[in-house]
Amino acid sequence: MTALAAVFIIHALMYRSKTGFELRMYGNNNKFAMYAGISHTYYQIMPMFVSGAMYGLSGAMAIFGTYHAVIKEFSVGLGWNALAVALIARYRPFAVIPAALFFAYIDSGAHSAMLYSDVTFELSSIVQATVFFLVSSVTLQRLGLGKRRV
Amino acid sequence: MSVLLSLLTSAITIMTPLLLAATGGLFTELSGMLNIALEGLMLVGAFASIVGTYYSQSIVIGILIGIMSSMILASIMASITLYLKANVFITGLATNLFASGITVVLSFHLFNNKGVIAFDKMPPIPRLFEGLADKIPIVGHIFFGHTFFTYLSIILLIVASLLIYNTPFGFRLRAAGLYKKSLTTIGLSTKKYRFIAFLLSAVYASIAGAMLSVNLGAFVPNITSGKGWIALVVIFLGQKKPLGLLIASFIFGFSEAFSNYAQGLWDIPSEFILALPYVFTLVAIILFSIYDFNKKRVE
Repeated sequence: MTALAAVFIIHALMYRSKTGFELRMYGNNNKFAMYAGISHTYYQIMPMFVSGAMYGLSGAMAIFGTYHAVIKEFSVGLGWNALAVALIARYRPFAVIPAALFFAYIDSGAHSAMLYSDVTFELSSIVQATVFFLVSSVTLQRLGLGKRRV
Repeated sequence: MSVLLSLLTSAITIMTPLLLAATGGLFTELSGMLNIALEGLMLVGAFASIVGTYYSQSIVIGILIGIMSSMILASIMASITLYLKANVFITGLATNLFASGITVVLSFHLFNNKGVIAFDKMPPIPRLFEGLADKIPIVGHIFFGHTFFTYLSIILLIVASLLIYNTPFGFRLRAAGLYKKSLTTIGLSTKKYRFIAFLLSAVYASIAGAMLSVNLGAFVPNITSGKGWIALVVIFLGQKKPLGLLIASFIFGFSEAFSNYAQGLWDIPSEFILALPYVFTLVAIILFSIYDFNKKRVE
Protein backbone atom coordinates (compact mmCIF):
# COMPACT_ATOMS: atom_id res chain seq x y z
CA MET A 1 0.00 0.00 0.00
CA THR A 2 2.69 2.40 1.05
CA ALA A 3 4.61 1.71 -2.12
CA LEU A 4 1.56 2.44 -4.27
CA ALA A 5 0.91 5.61 -2.29
CA ALA A 6 4.50 6.63 -2.84
CA VAL A 7 4.07 6.20 -6.60
CA PHE A 8 1.02 8.45 -6.52
CA ILE A 9 2.77 11.05 -4.39
CA ILE A 10 5.81 11.10 -6.67
CA HIS A 11 3.59 11.38 -9.71
CA ALA A 12 1.73 14.29 -8.13
CA LEU A 13 4.99 15.91 -7.16
CA MET A 14 6.51 15.53 -10.58
CA TYR A 15 3.61 16.26 -12.88
CA ARG A 16 0.99 18.10 -10.86
CA SER A 17 2.96 20.67 -8.92
CA LYS A 18 5.03 23.77 -9.52
CA THR A 19 8.06 22.12 -7.96
CA GLY A 20 7.80 19.21 -10.36
CA PHE A 21 7.43 21.50 -13.33
CA GLU A 22 10.51 23.45 -12.35
CA LEU A 23 12.38 20.23 -11.64
CA ARG A 24 11.59 18.82 -15.07
CA MET A 25 12.56 22.11 -16.66
CA TYR A 26 15.84 22.04 -14.81
CA GLY A 27 16.44 18.46 -15.95
CA ASN A 28 15.63 19.13 -19.58
CA ASN A 29 17.64 22.28 -19.98
CA ASN A 30 19.37 23.71 -16.98
CA LYS A 31 20.56 26.83 -18.77
CA PHE A 32 17.02 27.70 -19.77
CA ALA A 33 15.87 27.05 -16.22
CA MET A 34 18.60 29.32 -14.93
CA TYR A 35 17.47 32.15 -17.18
CA ALA A 36 13.88 31.52 -16.13
CA GLY A 37 14.96 32.30 -12.59
CA ILE A 38 14.88 28.83 -11.14
CA SER A 39 17.21 28.15 -8.27
CA HIS A 40 20.21 26.21 -9.47
CA THR A 41 21.34 24.64 -6.24
CA TYR A 42 17.87 23.88 -4.92
CA TYR A 43 17.08 21.54 -7.79
CA GLN A 44 20.42 19.84 -7.51
CA ILE A 45 19.89 18.97 -3.86
CA MET A 46 16.11 18.60 -3.49
CA PRO A 47 15.74 15.53 -5.79
CA MET A 48 18.51 13.82 -3.85
CA PHE A 49 16.58 14.46 -0.65
CA VAL A 50 13.38 13.04 -2.10
CA SER A 51 15.09 9.97 -3.49
CA GLY A 52 16.86 9.47 -0.18
CA ALA A 53 13.50 9.56 1.54
CA MET A 54 12.17 6.94 -0.89
CA TYR A 55 15.18 4.69 -0.33
CA GLY A 56 14.72 4.98 3.41
CA LEU A 57 11.06 4.13 3.04
CA SER A 58 11.84 1.09 0.91
CA GLY A 59 14.40 -0.10 3.44
CA ALA A 60 11.87 0.28 6.23
CA MET A 61 9.21 -1.54 4.17
CA ALA A 62 11.61 -4.38 3.43
CA ILE A 63 12.30 -4.79 7.14
CA PHE A 64 8.75 -4.38 8.47
CA GLY A 65 6.80 -5.88 5.61
CA THR A 66 8.88 -8.53 3.87
CA TYR A 67 11.50 -9.96 6.18
CA HIS A 68 10.18 -9.04 9.63
CA ALA A 69 13.77 -9.07 10.77
CA VAL A 70 16.93 -7.06 10.23
CA ILE A 71 19.10 -9.35 8.16
CA LYS A 72 22.63 -8.23 7.52
CA GLU A 73 23.03 -7.07 3.92
CA PHE A 74 19.40 -7.80 3.07
CA SER A 75 19.53 -5.04 0.47
CA VAL A 76 22.29 -6.57 -1.65
CA GLY A 77 21.42 -6.05 -5.30
CA LEU A 78 18.09 -4.46 -4.41
CA GLY A 79 19.26 -0.96 -5.17
CA TRP A 80 20.75 -1.93 -8.52
CA ASN A 81 17.62 -3.77 -9.58
CA ALA A 82 15.57 -0.78 -8.49
CA LEU A 83 17.76 1.48 -10.58
CA ALA A 84 17.20 -0.71 -13.60
CA VAL A 85 13.46 -0.76 -12.97
CA ALA A 86 13.50 3.02 -12.80
CA LEU A 87 15.46 3.28 -16.04
CA ILE A 88 12.99 0.97 -17.76
CA ALA A 89 10.07 3.05 -16.52
CA ARG A 90 11.79 6.20 -17.84
CA TYR A 91 9.92 9.34 -16.76
CA ARG A 92 6.61 7.72 -15.90
CA PRO A 93 6.09 7.00 -12.21
CA PHE A 94 3.15 4.72 -12.94
CA ALA A 95 5.23 2.55 -15.25
CA VAL A 96 7.36 1.67 -12.24
CA ILE A 97 4.60 -0.61 -10.95
CA PRO A 98 4.51 -3.10 -13.86
CA ALA A 99 8.29 -2.96 -14.24
CA ALA A 100 8.84 -3.75 -10.58
CA LEU A 101 6.20 -6.49 -10.66
CA PHE A 102 7.92 -8.05 -13.64
CA PHE A 103 11.21 -8.22 -11.83
CA ALA A 104 9.62 -9.60 -8.71
CA TYR A 105 7.94 -12.20 -10.91
CA ILE A 106 11.28 -13.35 -12.34
CA ASP A 107 12.74 -13.55 -8.85
CA SER A 108 9.90 -15.57 -7.36
CA GLY A 109 9.85 -17.74 -10.47
CA ALA A 110 13.49 -18.58 -9.85
CA HIS A 111 12.65 -19.38 -6.23
CA SER A 112 10.03 -21.93 -7.19
CA ALA A 113 12.20 -23.29 -10.01
CA MET A 114 14.91 -23.87 -7.44
CA LEU A 115 12.49 -25.81 -5.26
CA TYR A 116 11.17 -28.10 -7.98
CA SER A 117 14.25 -28.72 -10.11
CA ASP A 118 18.00 -28.65 -9.77
CA VAL A 119 18.69 -25.18 -11.17
CA THR A 120 20.39 -22.70 -8.90
CA PHE A 121 18.78 -19.51 -7.69
CA GLU A 122 21.35 -17.37 -9.46
CA LEU A 123 19.76 -18.38 -12.76
CA SER A 124 17.20 -15.66 -12.13
CA SER A 125 19.87 -13.00 -12.30
CA ILE A 126 20.89 -14.31 -15.72
CA VAL A 127 17.29 -14.04 -16.92
CA GLN A 128 17.03 -10.55 -15.44
CA ALA A 129 20.28 -9.60 -17.12
CA THR A 130 18.97 -10.78 -20.48
CA VAL A 131 15.90 -8.62 -20.00
CA PHE A 132 18.06 -5.65 -18.99
CA PHE A 133 20.22 -6.10 -22.04
CA LEU A 134 17.38 -5.84 -24.46
CA VAL A 135 14.78 -3.71 -22.72
CA SER A 136 16.27 -0.31 -23.42
CA SER A 137 17.23 -1.01 -27.01
CA VAL A 138 15.79 1.68 -29.26
CA THR A 139 16.07 -0.50 -32.38
CA LEU A 140 14.08 -3.34 -30.86
CA GLN A 141 11.46 -0.95 -29.53
CA ARG A 142 11.08 0.50 -32.99
CA LEU A 143 10.69 -3.00 -34.42
CA GLY A 144 7.95 -3.75 -31.92
CA LEU A 145 6.13 -0.52 -32.70
CA GLY A 146 6.38 -1.12 -36.45
CA LYS A 147 4.77 -4.51 -36.13
CA ARG A 148 1.95 -3.11 -34.07
CA ARG A 149 1.17 -0.46 -36.66
CA VAL A 150 0.83 -3.08 -39.41
CA MET B 1 59.46 2.93 9.80
CA SER B 2 59.16 -0.77 9.06
CA VAL B 3 55.38 -0.36 9.41
CA LEU B 4 55.39 2.29 6.73
CA LEU B 5 57.49 0.09 4.46
CA SER B 6 55.17 -2.88 4.82
CA LEU B 7 52.20 -0.57 4.29
CA LEU B 8 53.72 0.70 1.05
CA THR B 9 54.45 -2.84 -0.10
CA SER B 10 50.90 -4.01 0.49
CA ALA B 11 49.57 -0.76 -0.99
CA ILE B 12 51.28 -1.67 -4.27
CA THR B 13 49.75 -5.15 -4.18
CA ILE B 14 46.28 -3.73 -3.55
CA MET B 15 46.56 -1.02 -6.17
CA THR B 16 47.45 -3.37 -9.02
CA PRO B 17 43.94 -4.64 -9.88
CA LEU B 18 42.55 -1.15 -9.39
CA LEU B 19 45.11 0.30 -11.76
CA LEU B 20 44.47 -2.37 -14.38
CA ALA B 21 40.71 -2.00 -14.25
CA ALA B 22 40.94 1.78 -14.28
CA THR B 23 43.24 1.72 -17.30
CA GLY B 24 40.70 -0.44 -19.07
CA GLY B 25 37.92 1.92 -18.11
CA LEU B 26 39.99 4.82 -19.41
CA PHE B 27 39.54 3.59 -22.99
CA THR B 28 35.76 3.55 -22.79
CA GLU B 29 35.69 6.75 -20.79
CA LEU B 30 37.74 8.58 -23.42
CA SER B 31 35.57 7.17 -26.17
CA GLY B 32 32.58 8.78 -24.51
CA MET B 33 30.90 5.84 -22.81
CA LEU B 34 30.54 5.34 -19.08
CA ASN B 35 31.56 1.73 -18.62
CA ILE B 36 29.99 0.64 -15.37
CA ALA B 37 30.40 -2.98 -16.42
CA LEU B 38 34.02 -3.07 -15.24
CA GLU B 39 32.91 -4.95 -12.15
CA GLY B 40 31.20 -7.68 -14.14
CA LEU B 41 34.00 -7.97 -16.65
CA MET B 42 36.48 -8.33 -13.80
CA LEU B 43 34.35 -11.02 -12.19
CA VAL B 44 34.07 -13.07 -15.37
CA GLY B 45 37.79 -12.64 -15.99
CA ALA B 46 38.57 -13.76 -12.46
CA PHE B 47 36.40 -16.86 -12.71
CA ALA B 48 37.42 -17.91 -16.22
CA SER B 49 41.11 -17.38 -15.62
CA ILE B 50 41.26 -19.36 -12.41
CA VAL B 51 39.28 -22.20 -13.92
CA GLY B 52 41.48 -22.06 -17.01
CA THR B 53 44.59 -22.06 -14.86
CA TYR B 54 43.32 -25.01 -12.87
CA TYR B 55 42.56 -27.16 -15.90
CA SER B 56 45.57 -26.20 -17.99
CA GLN B 57 48.01 -25.81 -15.08
CA SER B 58 49.45 -22.77 -16.79
CA ILE B 59 48.85 -19.21 -15.67
CA VAL B 60 49.36 -17.74 -19.13
CA ILE B 61 46.74 -19.99 -20.73
CA GLY B 62 44.41 -19.31 -17.81
CA ILE B 63 44.70 -15.57 -18.22
CA LEU B 64 44.18 -15.88 -21.97
CA ILE B 65 40.98 -17.86 -21.36
CA GLY B 66 39.90 -15.17 -18.90
CA ILE B 67 40.56 -12.45 -21.45
CA MET B 68 38.64 -14.35 -24.11
CA SER B 69 35.54 -14.87 -21.98
CA SER B 70 35.59 -11.32 -20.72
CA MET B 71 35.88 -10.07 -24.29
CA ILE B 72 32.93 -12.18 -25.35
CA LEU B 73 30.79 -10.62 -22.63
CA ALA B 74 32.04 -7.14 -23.51
CA SER B 75 31.30 -7.67 -27.19
CA ILE B 76 27.74 -8.74 -26.36
CA MET B 77 27.31 -5.64 -24.24
CA ALA B 78 28.95 -3.34 -26.79
CA SER B 79 26.98 -4.66 -29.73
CA ILE B 80 23.69 -4.29 -27.87
CA THR B 81 24.65 -0.82 -26.70
CA LEU B 82 25.97 0.45 -30.01
CA TYR B 83 24.10 -1.43 -32.71
CA LEU B 84 20.78 -1.94 -30.96
CA LYS B 85 21.03 1.54 -29.43
CA ALA B 86 20.44 0.56 -25.84
CA ASN B 87 21.14 2.70 -22.81
CA VAL B 88 24.75 2.09 -21.83
CA PHE B 89 23.91 2.34 -18.16
CA ILE B 90 21.29 -0.39 -18.28
CA THR B 91 23.47 -2.71 -20.35
CA GLY B 92 26.28 -2.11 -17.89
CA LEU B 93 24.02 -3.07 -15.01
CA ALA B 94 22.91 -6.10 -16.99
CA THR B 95 26.51 -7.14 -17.53
CA ASN B 96 27.24 -6.92 -13.82
CA LEU B 97 24.13 -8.91 -12.99
CA PHE B 98 24.89 -11.48 -15.66
CA ALA B 99 28.46 -11.88 -14.45
CA SER B 100 27.47 -12.39 -10.84
CA GLY B 101 24.88 -14.94 -11.94
CA ILE B 102 26.89 -16.88 -14.49
CA THR B 103 29.94 -17.31 -12.27
CA VAL B 104 27.86 -18.89 -9.51
CA VAL B 105 25.85 -21.06 -11.89
CA LEU B 106 28.97 -22.29 -13.68
CA SER B 107 30.81 -22.96 -10.45
CA PHE B 108 27.81 -24.97 -9.28
CA HIS B 109 27.78 -27.01 -12.46
CA LEU B 110 31.54 -27.52 -12.64
CA PHE B 111 32.42 -28.01 -8.99
CA ASN B 112 29.05 -28.59 -7.30
CA ASN B 113 29.82 -25.71 -4.99
CA LYS B 114 28.20 -22.31 -4.79
CA GLY B 115 30.54 -20.84 -2.23
CA VAL B 116 34.29 -20.52 -2.03
CA ILE B 117 36.13 -22.84 -4.40
CA ALA B 118 39.65 -23.50 -3.25
CA PHE B 119 41.92 -25.05 -5.87
CA ASP B 120 44.49 -27.36 -4.35
CA LYS B 121 46.83 -27.83 -7.30
CA MET B 122 47.75 -24.44 -8.65
CA PRO B 123 50.92 -23.51 -10.49
CA PRO B 124 53.04 -21.08 -8.47
CA ILE B 125 52.85 -17.42 -9.40
CA PRO B 126 56.23 -16.13 -10.45
CA ARG B 127 57.60 -13.24 -8.45
CA LEU B 128 59.98 -10.98 -10.31
CA PHE B 129 63.21 -9.29 -9.19
CA GLU B 130 63.34 -11.10 -5.87
CA GLY B 131 67.13 -11.00 -5.81
CA LEU B 132 67.06 -7.25 -6.39
CA ALA B 133 64.64 -6.77 -3.48
CA ASP B 134 67.14 -8.19 -1.02
CA LYS B 135 70.11 -6.34 -2.46
CA ILE B 136 68.72 -2.81 -2.30
CA PRO B 137 68.26 -1.66 1.29
CA ILE B 138 65.00 -0.21 2.64
CA VAL B 139 63.16 0.54 -0.60
CA GLY B 140 64.01 -2.74 -2.31
CA HIS B 141 60.98 -4.60 -1.03
CA ILE B 142 58.61 -1.82 -2.02
CA PHE B 143 59.43 -1.89 -5.71
CA PHE B 144 60.78 -5.39 -6.32
CA GLY B 145 59.69 -8.90 -5.50
CA HIS B 146 56.02 -8.46 -6.34
CA THR B 147 54.09 -10.89 -8.49
CA PHE B 148 54.41 -10.39 -12.22
CA PHE B 149 50.92 -8.87 -12.26
CA THR B 150 52.24 -5.67 -10.70
CA TYR B 151 54.87 -5.16 -13.38
CA LEU B 152 52.37 -6.21 -16.03
CA SER B 153 50.01 -3.49 -14.82
CA ILE B 154 52.70 -0.82 -15.17
CA ILE B 155 53.69 -2.09 -18.62
CA LEU B 156 50.06 -2.17 -19.71
CA LEU B 157 49.55 1.35 -18.38
CA ILE B 158 52.46 2.56 -20.50
CA VAL B 159 51.09 0.65 -23.49
CA ALA B 160 47.68 2.23 -22.95
CA SER B 161 49.19 5.68 -22.65
CA LEU B 162 51.18 5.22 -25.87
CA LEU B 163 48.12 3.84 -27.61
CA ILE B 164 45.91 6.71 -26.54
CA TYR B 165 48.26 9.61 -27.07
CA ASN B 166 50.69 8.51 -29.77
CA THR B 167 48.73 6.59 -32.38
CA PRO B 168 46.08 7.57 -34.91
CA PHE B 169 43.83 5.02 -33.25
CA GLY B 170 44.06 6.78 -29.89
CA PHE B 171 43.51 10.13 -31.52
CA ARG B 172 40.30 8.92 -33.13
CA LEU B 173 39.23 7.22 -29.92
CA ARG B 174 39.49 10.51 -28.06
CA ALA B 175 37.75 12.29 -30.90
CA ALA B 176 34.82 9.89 -30.50
CA GLY B 177 34.53 11.01 -26.91
CA LEU B 178 35.11 14.71 -27.40
CA TYR B 179 33.13 15.46 -30.49
CA LYS B 180 31.30 12.67 -32.23
CA LYS B 181 30.63 14.57 -35.43
CA SER B 182 34.32 15.15 -36.12
CA LEU B 183 34.73 11.43 -36.79
CA THR B 184 31.58 11.20 -38.86
CA THR B 185 32.64 14.10 -41.08
CA ILE B 186 35.91 12.42 -42.06
CA GLY B 187 34.05 9.23 -42.85
CA LEU B 188 34.93 7.10 -39.85
CA SER B 189 32.51 5.19 -37.69
CA THR B 190 32.28 6.23 -34.04
CA LYS B 191 30.74 2.89 -33.22
CA LYS B 192 33.77 0.98 -34.38
CA TYR B 193 36.09 2.89 -32.06
CA ARG B 194 33.73 2.58 -29.13
CA PHE B 195 33.42 -1.14 -29.77
CA ILE B 196 37.19 -1.52 -29.73
CA ALA B 197 37.33 0.56 -26.56
CA PHE B 198 34.91 -1.85 -24.90
CA LEU B 199 36.99 -4.84 -25.97
CA LEU B 200 40.20 -3.23 -24.68
CA SER B 201 38.59 -2.43 -21.36
CA ALA B 202 37.48 -6.06 -21.13
CA VAL B 203 41.07 -7.20 -21.66
CA TYR B 204 42.36 -4.96 -18.89
CA ALA B 205 39.53 -5.74 -16.51
CA SER B 206 39.90 -9.46 -16.95
CA ILE B 207 43.62 -9.30 -16.15
CA ALA B 208 42.69 -7.34 -13.03
CA GLY B 209 40.19 -10.02 -12.09
CA ALA B 210 42.71 -12.76 -12.84
CA MET B 211 45.12 -11.15 -10.44
CA LEU B 212 42.51 -11.22 -7.67
CA SER B 213 41.58 -14.86 -8.04
CA VAL B 214 44.87 -16.42 -9.17
CA ASN B 215 46.77 -14.62 -6.43
CA LEU B 216 44.38 -16.07 -3.89
CA GLY B 217 44.34 -19.53 -5.46
CA ALA B 218 40.59 -19.66 -4.89
CA PHE B 219 37.41 -18.23 -6.29
CA VAL B 220 35.04 -16.47 -3.92
CA PRO B 221 31.60 -15.39 -5.19
CA ASN B 222 31.73 -11.67 -5.91
CA ILE B 223 35.47 -11.67 -5.43
CA THR B 224 35.73 -8.23 -7.00
CA SER B 225 33.67 -6.75 -4.13
CA GLY B 226 33.23 -3.29 -5.57
CA LYS B 227 36.72 -2.96 -7.04
CA GLY B 228 35.22 -2.17 -10.44
CA TRP B 229 33.32 0.75 -8.95
CA ILE B 230 36.40 2.04 -7.18
CA ALA B 231 38.23 1.77 -10.49
CA LEU B 232 35.64 4.13 -11.95
CA VAL B 233 36.31 6.57 -9.12
CA VAL B 234 40.02 6.21 -9.81
CA ILE B 235 39.44 7.24 -13.42
CA PHE B 236 37.66 10.43 -12.42
CA LEU B 237 40.04 11.18 -9.58
CA GLY B 238 42.97 10.65 -11.93
CA GLN B 239 41.60 13.27 -14.33
CA LYS B 240 41.39 10.63 -17.10
CA LYS B 241 45.16 10.76 -17.53
CA PRO B 242 47.48 7.74 -17.23
CA LEU B 243 49.77 9.31 -14.63
CA GLY B 244 46.75 10.51 -12.68
CA LEU B 245 45.41 6.97 -12.65
CA LEU B 246 48.68 5.71 -11.21
CA ILE B 247 48.62 8.29 -8.41
CA ALA B 248 44.93 7.88 -7.65
CA SER B 249 45.11 4.09 -7.52
CA PHE B 250 48.15 4.30 -5.28
CA ILE B 251 46.27 6.57 -2.90
CA PHE B 252 43.46 4.03 -2.81
CA GLY B 253 45.81 1.14 -2.31
CA PHE B 254 47.53 2.95 0.51
CA SER B 255 44.33 3.88 2.30
CA GLU B 256 43.09 0.31 2.06
CA ALA B 257 46.39 -1.07 3.28
CA PHE B 258 46.27 1.40 6.13
CA SER B 259 42.74 0.44 7.09
CA ASN B 260 43.74 -3.25 7.05
CA TYR B 261 46.67 -2.47 9.31
CA ALA B 262 44.89 -0.10 11.68
CA GLN B 263 41.95 -2.36 12.47
CA GLY B 264 43.14 -3.52 15.85
CA LEU B 265 45.26 -0.53 16.61
CA TRP B 266 42.88 1.87 18.29
CA ASP B 267 39.82 1.54 20.41
CA ILE B 268 37.46 2.18 17.49
CA PRO B 269 35.11 -0.45 16.02
CA SER B 270 36.88 -2.08 13.10
CA GLU B 271 33.95 -1.39 10.78
CA PHE B 272 34.70 2.31 10.98
CA ILE B 273 38.30 1.75 10.04
CA LEU B 274 37.31 -0.57 7.21
CA ALA B 275 35.13 2.23 5.87
CA LEU B 276 38.18 4.47 5.78
CA PRO B 277 38.99 4.06 2.06
CA TYR B 278 35.46 5.11 1.18
CA VAL B 279 35.52 8.10 3.51
CA PHE B 280 38.80 8.92 1.91
CA THR B 281 37.19 8.74 -1.54
CA LEU B 282 34.52 11.15 -0.50
CA VAL B 283 37.00 13.61 0.97
CA ALA B 284 39.23 13.35 -2.08
CA ILE B 285 36.35 14.01 -4.45
CA ILE B 286 35.14 16.99 -2.40
CA LEU B 287 38.64 18.47 -2.22
CA PHE B 288 39.13 17.87 -5.88
CA SER B 289 35.90 19.56 -6.87
CA ILE B 290 36.76 22.56 -4.66
CA TYR B 291 40.12 22.76 -6.39
CA ASP B 292 38.45 22.53 -9.78
CA PHE B 293 35.92 25.20 -8.83
CA ASN B 294 38.62 27.60 -7.69
CA LYS B 295 40.68 27.00 -10.81
CA LYS B 296 37.70 27.80 -12.99
CA ARG B 297 37.04 30.97 -11.04
CA VAL B 298 40.62 32.14 -11.49
CA GLU B 299 40.40 31.58 -15.20
